Order: sequence, then C-alpha cells, then structure tokens
Amino acid sequence: MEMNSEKIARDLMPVKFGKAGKIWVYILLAIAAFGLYAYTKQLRFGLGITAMRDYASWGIYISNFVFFVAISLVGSLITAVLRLTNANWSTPLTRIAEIIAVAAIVFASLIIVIDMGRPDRLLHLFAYGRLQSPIIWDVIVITTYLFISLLLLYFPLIPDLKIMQKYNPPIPGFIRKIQKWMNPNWVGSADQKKLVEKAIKILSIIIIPVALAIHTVTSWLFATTYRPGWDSTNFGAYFVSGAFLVGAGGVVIAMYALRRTYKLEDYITEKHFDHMGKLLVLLSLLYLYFNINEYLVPAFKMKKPEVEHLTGLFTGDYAAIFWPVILLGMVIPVIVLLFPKGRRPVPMFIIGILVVAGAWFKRFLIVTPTLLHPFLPMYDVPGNYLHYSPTWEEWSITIGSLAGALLIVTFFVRYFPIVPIAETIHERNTKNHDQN
Amino acid sequence: MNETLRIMIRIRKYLVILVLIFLSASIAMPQEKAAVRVDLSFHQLNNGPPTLTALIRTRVDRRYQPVENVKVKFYHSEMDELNLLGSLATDSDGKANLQPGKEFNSLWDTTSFFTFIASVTDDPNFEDNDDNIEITKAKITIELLEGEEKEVKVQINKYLEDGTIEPAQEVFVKLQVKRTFGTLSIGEDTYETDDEGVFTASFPEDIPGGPDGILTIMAFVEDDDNLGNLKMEKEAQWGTIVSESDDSFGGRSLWAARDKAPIWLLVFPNLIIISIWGTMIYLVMLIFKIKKIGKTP
Repeated sequence: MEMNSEKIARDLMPVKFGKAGKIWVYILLAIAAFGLYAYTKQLRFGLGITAMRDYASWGIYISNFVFFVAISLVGSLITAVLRLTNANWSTPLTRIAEIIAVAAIVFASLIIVIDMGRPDRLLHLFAYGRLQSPIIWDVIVITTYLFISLLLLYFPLIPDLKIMQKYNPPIPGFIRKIQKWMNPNWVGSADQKKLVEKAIKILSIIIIPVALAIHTVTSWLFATTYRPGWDSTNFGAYFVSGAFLVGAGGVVIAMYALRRTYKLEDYITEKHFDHMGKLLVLLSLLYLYFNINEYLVPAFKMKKPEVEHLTGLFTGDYAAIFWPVILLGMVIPVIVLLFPKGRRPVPMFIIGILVVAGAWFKRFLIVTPTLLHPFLPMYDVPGNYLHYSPTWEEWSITIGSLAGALLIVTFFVRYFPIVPIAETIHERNTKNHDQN
Repeated sequence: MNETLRIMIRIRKYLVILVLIFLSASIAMPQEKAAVRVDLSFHQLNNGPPTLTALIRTRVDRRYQPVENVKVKFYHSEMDELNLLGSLATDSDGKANLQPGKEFNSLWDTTSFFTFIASVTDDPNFEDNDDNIEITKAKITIELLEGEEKEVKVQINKYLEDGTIEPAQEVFVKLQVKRTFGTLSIGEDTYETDDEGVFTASFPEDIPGGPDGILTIMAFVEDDDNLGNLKMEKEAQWGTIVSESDDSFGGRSLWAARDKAPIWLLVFPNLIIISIWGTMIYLVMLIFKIKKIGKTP
C-alpha cells in the first residue's frame, strides 16, 4: 500500500472529540468526580466508612492497586520485549501500551494513598520507611517504573512533537505551549536520531528487569507472609504472567476503540489483531499454567489452614467469582483465539474485555479471601469482620480511579498522536525501499 | 370528594388514637430502677493502709455485669454520716476502690475489729443496696530461710481487742512469685497455718529471675472470712540469672529498626537503585544533548 509521509502525518494527527468522544469524557468525568466526592467523605470520616475491618484489612483498594500495577506491565511487554525481539508489527501499538502503563502506574500510586488511614503521613513512607519491608521495595520500584515509563513514552514522541508543530492540529494554546516546551529543538539530524534510538534501546533494556521487579515485589507483599493462598514460591512468576495477560487485553480493547473512533484501519490492521490474538493465547495459557499450579498443588495436599481458603474459592462464598474468572478470563480466550475468526477485531475486543474484567476480579480473589481466614482468629469477633462486602464509597472511589486512568489515556489521545508518526513513516519507507 | 374527606377523617381519628396510646404509655410507666448487687472486700498490701473495694453489678441478660459511674458510700461500724469513710463512683470495671483518709488512721491503729459497709443510696438508676464485712486486723510476715535448701516461712498474727496479737490458725495462704504479666504459684495450691500461725514451704531453685536473679516472692491470703485479702511481698535474689537472651534485637536484622537493616539489604538494593537511576539520569542528560544539537545551526 503506497502511502506518503504527508498522508500518514495527517491521518495520525490528534483531532477534536466527536459527539461520542464528548459523551465518553463527560461520563468519565462524572464517575471520577463522584469517586472524588466519596474520597472527601473518607478523608473526613476515615477508613471506617469502608467495609475493611481487622480481618479484611485489604479490600478492593488493594485489589485495584494490584490490577493497576499488573496492567502497567504491558508497557514493557509491547514496547520493550517485542522491540528487542524485532517484532516490528508492534510499532503502532507501542504508544497505546506506554500511555496505558503510565496512566495505570499513576493510579496505582494514588490508590495506595487512598488505602492509607492517614494520607497526610505519606511522606513518612520515604522518611521513615524500613528497607527491610517489601512495602518500601514496592514504593521504590513503582517510582522507578513510573519514571522509566514516562521516558519511554517521551523519547519516541520527540520527532512527532516536531511533526505536530508543522501540521498544527486543533489543540488549545496552553497545551501547544507545553508541547513546544517538550520539544528539545528537534531537527531530525542524524546525530539527534542516533541519540533518540540509543535512549529507546537503553530504556527497552532496563524497563524489562524493572517491570519484572515491580510486579514481583507486589507479589512479595503477599508471598512474604505465611498465609493460605499467599505462601507460595511461585508468586512472582504467577503475578508477572497474569500482568502480561491483562496488559495485552487492555491494549486490545484500546486498539479496537481507537481504530474505530479515529478510523485507523490503515495503521492498526487486522494483522495486528491477529498477532495480538496469538499473543493473548500464549499469555492465557501461561497464566492458566500458573493458576493450576497455585490451586491444584495446595488442593492436592489440603493442608489444614488451606482447606477453608480453597473450599471458599472452589465451592464456597467466592465460587461465583472464581469459576467465571478462570473460565471467561483464561479458558474461553484460549479457545476462541485459537481460531483465525476469533482473532478478528470484534471478537478480539470482546475477549479483551473478558480478560481485563476477569483480571480485576482475579486480583480481588488473591487479596481478600485469604485475609478472612486468620491463623489466630479473634475471640468474640464481631460478625461483620468475618465477611467483606465493599461499601458504596469504596466502589465509587475504585470505579472513580478506573475512570481517572481512562481519562489520562483519553486526553493523551486527544492531544498527542496515539500511533507514532515518525516511526510509522520510517518503517513504511524502509519497507517500500526494501520492496523496490 | 366526599369519599376522600371521609377517608381523611378516618385516618385522623386513628392518628389521634395512636398518639394518645403513645402518650399514655410514656406517662403512665414510671421508670423502674434496676436492682444492684454490692460486694465489698478488704485488701491490705505489705501491712500498709487498708483498701476497701466495692464491686457494683446488675443483672443484664441473666448475667451480672459491672456498672460504671454508680456512687458508692463507705462506712465503718454503721451507716451513719459520722462514720462515713468516703464516697466514690465506680470505674468501667464496676469497682470503687477507697483508701480511707488520714482521719481514719488513729482508729485503724487503736482498734482490732472492724465492720465496713459499702452502700448505694439514692441512685437515679438503681435501687438502694449495701454490703458489709467484718474484719479482724492481722499482720503477715515473710521470712526467707537459706539452709540446705531455700525455704519461705510465713507467719500470720491477728490482733486481739486489747491490742496484743495471737497466731492466726488455719488460714489458707497462697505462695506466689511475681512474673511480668501475672503470678506463678509455688508449691501447693494453698498452705494452711499451724497453731503458731506459721507455715514453711520449700522454694525451688530454678525460677528464672531476669538478668540479676531477683524474684518478688508473695504470700497471699485470699478472701479470708475474718482477715479479708492480705498480701505480703518480699524481694530475694533467689532466681536463676537469665541473661538477655535475644541480643540480636540490637543487631542488624530483617526485623530491626530501619537504621539496622542487614548489610546485604543495604548493598544490593542500593546498587540496583543507583544503577537504574544513574541510567535514567544519563537518559535525561541525553535530552539536553539532543536539545543542544538542535540549537547548533
């Protein structure tokens, strides 16, 4: 397909929100504002307004945190792993993955503050944190990952910033000023290109261990304690594989939505869906493998403290979440995506939603049920400590945070080219050159 | 229209009846006072000034529960304002502990038999009730004998009307050692004093006594009908010396304070942090380099 640079640049320039876009933004703003209102209530009355008590001291906030950290890993998967393995087909998806990563990691950090009883003491984490505590490792590694992700979003954006100045897309003045400030005098000289390529290469390499670290450390928040469902040596790999799966699912949803909304069929093609579908099969199988490990092996032994936890998941209170998560979030995607027809955009989109929703509930199943079965139960424990069903404030704040993350992605798409322009032009030119 | 009016009048009629029932119920039922149980006990530590404890409870759900903030008056001899020793409100455990004031001292020093009374009167929520106990003043001594084996000799004497003393016979005494969060019984459950008002018990050699081996040995007369509760404490270096066993607490460990993190935990994470952040600083510098290149024509 012949396409000149001019057309590519025009096709990929950010455009104003359409009617649907505006409705989408208003809905997200309303949800986020309601979450913010619920949070002001929590600030006034404390964590008592949540359903968290002495037993379930981690509820949907922490589940949501683990979800955000998980989905953020996709930045490293799509941009780094695929780039380093020369899977060039992923180029149009890199920026989508990177902005999802940044939005998710920003809200992962925020949700931790929300889970704090005394958010005014946030700085104490840095001032008095003990390096012996996995929680501090998480604080360090999340900060690092956020910074790397921002850089990995920024470097490939530099040439595009220059192109945007030329084409003058409809962008408010102050954002234009910010974009101008962000542009480091790009002239596209060979030296500059060399430096940007070098930076991207370095980032692609260092983001992989940091990404593995961020989710491994998050898994250690659980695995370093001796509790049913958490006491596992597999937890790091289990979390990382699940993270790649949910991240890839998130990218698929975004690909579909952006492709439809901005008519990017020439750039995000059916081939991309096909590749992502195959990747999802691999990741679903991988995650399924770790799930079988995490549940089958303890269930085979049925150590006494594990019985309550496992039966609760398999046949008890949580079975209604557990089985849909396994079947809809892992098994069905594998089956559907094994068929070429299943890897077409619409079925992929649906599978993406199943994977991401399944992943959210999966995090809840990892975090909370374990807490309800303590080794040393309290004497005369109040009845409401034994169950956890989140209050409307918790749901509002949690859903508000999800809306917040989507808003970051939405506004980024509004003001920046979501498919890298310069890289696309370069790749198409190279391809044409090779063909000639 | 007529129909609606009729329904409204009927509703109003029922409302009036309801209000009347409610009012009559609340006016006609005077607030009934609950019954309270008063339990008075007498306590004395190391032959010092006595303490009177009144426990006030009421029946809730077929069980006696302590009641807070009930005013209790304490008397000696009889319930007369002249004999009032003091008054106190109960605490959250339903207890009022009174140590009679100085004016009681001369009576305490010159008298051997006492009647003490605790009374709840004119309380807004509870009926009047009282309890009294009769106490014979007594003295308890502990002697620590170190012969072939270690022995504790406890003697209890009670005062007679003329101020002289005689041995208190057949009094049950517990022998205990104070521990951090309670007491440890030594030997038999209780020992009984003989005709001389004395019992002797051998003391084990192997009671852990902390870094200096000091034990607090206690003789305890619990709820005796005549003597009340008497406790005598004496310290002795009779325990085995237990050195500070867990000295790792002061050293570097995973559970120590932040400035005592293990060396390996300082070295490796910091190496990682420095190398990753160092790389990132380098990358930020690259941005400035790119900027510089762009400026040069």
